[in-house]
Amino acid sequence: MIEFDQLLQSVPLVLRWEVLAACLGGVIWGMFVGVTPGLTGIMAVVIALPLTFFMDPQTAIALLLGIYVTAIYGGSVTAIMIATPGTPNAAATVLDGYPLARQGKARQALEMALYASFTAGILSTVVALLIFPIVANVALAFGAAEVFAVIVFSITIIAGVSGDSLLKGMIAACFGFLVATIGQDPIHGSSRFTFGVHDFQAGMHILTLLVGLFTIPEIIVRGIEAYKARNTATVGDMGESMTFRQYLSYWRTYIRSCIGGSLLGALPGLGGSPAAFLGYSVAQRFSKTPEKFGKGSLEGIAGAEAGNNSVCGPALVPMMSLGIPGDTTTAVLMGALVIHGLNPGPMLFEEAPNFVYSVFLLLFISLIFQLGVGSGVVRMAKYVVRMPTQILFPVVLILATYGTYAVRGTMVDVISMYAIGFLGFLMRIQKIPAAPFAIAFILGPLFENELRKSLIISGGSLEIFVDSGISITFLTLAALSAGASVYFHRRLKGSNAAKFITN
Amino acid sequence: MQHNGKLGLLTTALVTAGLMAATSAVAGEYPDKPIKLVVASGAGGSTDTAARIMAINIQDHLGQPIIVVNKKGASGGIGINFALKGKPDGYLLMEGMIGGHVLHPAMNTSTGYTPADYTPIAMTQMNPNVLIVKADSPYKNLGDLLGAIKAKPGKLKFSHAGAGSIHYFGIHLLLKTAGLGKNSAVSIPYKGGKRSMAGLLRGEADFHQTNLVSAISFIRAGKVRALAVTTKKRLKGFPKVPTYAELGYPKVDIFGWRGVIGPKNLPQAIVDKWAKAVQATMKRKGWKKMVKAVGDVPRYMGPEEFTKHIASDFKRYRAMATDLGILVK
Repeated sequence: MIEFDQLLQSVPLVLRWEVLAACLGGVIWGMFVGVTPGLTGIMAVVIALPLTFFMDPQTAIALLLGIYVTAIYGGSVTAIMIATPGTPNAAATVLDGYPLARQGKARQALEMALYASFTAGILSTVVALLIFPIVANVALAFGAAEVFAVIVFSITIIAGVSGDSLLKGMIAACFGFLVATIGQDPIHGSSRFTFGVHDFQAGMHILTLLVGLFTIPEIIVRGIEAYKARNTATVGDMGESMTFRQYLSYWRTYIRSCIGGSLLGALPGLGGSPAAFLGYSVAQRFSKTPEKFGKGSLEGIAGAEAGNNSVCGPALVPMMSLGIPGDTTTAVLMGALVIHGLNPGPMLFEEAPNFVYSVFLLLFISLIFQLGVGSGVVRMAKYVVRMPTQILFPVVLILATYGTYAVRGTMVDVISMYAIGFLGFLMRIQKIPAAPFAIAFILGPLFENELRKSLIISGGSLEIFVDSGISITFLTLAALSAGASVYFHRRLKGSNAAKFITN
Repeated sequence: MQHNGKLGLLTTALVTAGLMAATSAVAGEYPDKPIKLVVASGAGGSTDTAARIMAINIQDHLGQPIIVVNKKGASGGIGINFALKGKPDGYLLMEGMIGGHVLHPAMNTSTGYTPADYTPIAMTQMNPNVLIVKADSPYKNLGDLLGAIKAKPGKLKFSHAGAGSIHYFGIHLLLKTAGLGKNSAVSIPYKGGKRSMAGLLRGEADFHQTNLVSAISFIRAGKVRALAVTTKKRLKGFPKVPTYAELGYPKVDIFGWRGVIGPKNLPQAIVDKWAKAVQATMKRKGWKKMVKAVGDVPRYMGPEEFTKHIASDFKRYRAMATDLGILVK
């Protein structure tokens, strides 16, 4: 349990100018990286890592946490403005953020993303701090079979973002699962579907897929439209600001997404993107206006952004208490701690309790800085909406191409991105939605890996999936969720709203 | 005169250009621009950390910045293939690691490279491996564990960081040395060493062999029990943990290592320059402190010894992979 005297003792460790400056620096750098497609949070942390070798542990972790937290939020800015997720976490934000920007409501969308991120970040950190031992044990309580059940539940999201036709959603999901099998077999290490291309052995990178799927078709479609209409003007309007009342009205969404995001954060290996989709789908399920999702729903943005930003705090818990990082970025943070002579693992709390508490305090400080820096970015976004199409689209295309190349430095990724882009364009013509493709791609490998691992552990018996209460609960939830989707589709079918989602 | 003037100008230009070329050839002693060091595994992992510690320390001795480039994927195959494609001019080198450089090509013939395709420069550090079980496990020592595997083959499970990882080969080396079949224990692959450790803690696996640094805090906290280490002598911090050699299995001597490796046909002068710089770096207090902090043991091997070590390791693990029938084509 939380010990308040130790928490208070940690305050002076954190409230030093060099620590705060490092944190602010990290937030600014994280924001830059977040809004730049191709630069991911993990790369940003790694670039800053050697700088921290010469800092004291608090300053070092302040810098890295600032980057970690802000890069997750920053990805939403480009997702909303130019339909290009700046980081993989922001894929779900494209679905509603970009339509809002097209309707001249970019400002509301950006603010929703910022405030939802901030709120969920604070909430999840409080949760992580208050029930630290419980969160720490989630990583151990969830074995292969339990994680598999969570993944199955998450896959039922696909139905929610399928739009008009469940069948078309399934077709898109199949594409996603197929593309996800490219690379190394997770169990035997042999190559699958690499067509003799060495670079394919590492599989398709998630940013390659997301940029291809969301950005390229958008540019083609809008380009054709602008050409036909002989009109290159953009929306040109940021729209009104969000009211405080509007912000408050989604409080249930923040809490629901925060629960989902915190759970996925505490589980090793899932990370922000599934959390965003989970938050999005839960928000839709509980929404009074689910038909608005996909055509520009503030609630959708709130769900997605609150989902991915509640990953941070809980992801740090198993890293510090068990030495098991929640995602790749926390793995890098762990490396930084080790260099500073701190041993993340069961002994850290006994050896350096003040340090553990200072990490949580720094998380709060990072979030506050993020709110400030983020508000500045929202104001600057007006230059994007004012940019005429003939300038904006080429710029986006360059960003997309360069970003895809930058992630792994191989042209194979660029070619794949354009191939996926063309496929995405054909899918749009056929009104096959892109979101199920992306979700299946993200969850597919996890699904396969955990399923096969569970069966190895059980010696081939399916009983392992009903052995624990946790897996039974999630599998039941999955069944309910799938049933609810079918019901929703019946209700939505034929309504104008459903057509909008597919468009 | 005008004509001559032009000619003169041209001559002057040519001479100047020639001089500049000559001086730059003299000044262009290796290295005269930043050097890229490819890490063929994820950022923040132990190999990456080792590379970054080396990079910031060695640049003082080489006089040029070292840029660490992460290219992960395919058990290290992506990054290594990338580094091997470059010109052997000493500006594109790799952080060597047993997994990607030896074990992966040993069990996979389609990686596109073997140790014959690269030039080992110097080993910088090593990390012993330790066999562990959960603290509440019924197996109190190596004999118990091997006895249980023998008594019920195909029942006990071990977790590892994927086929081709040191965790995987280490256990197979043990099973083989103990005269047990390759299917006597069930292999459960995880994504990375830390998650395979979590698999053991969760009870999904019965035993696990990993590098000491990953296990150390769990051993100290009493969460796991160490049954044997792969070093020749007992470890200073753990005088009660026996070595495999003591227990009658001296051949189970696998250990992780890191070092600097270049592409094939790397000029000897560059190899020597790096080897010398590595030696100088390893004497630095800052380097030693950081390497020890991450749990590695500093260990130098020069180009010749390192090359021999890699070649014999590769031969041994290729034979083992063929033997076990796990060779992937």
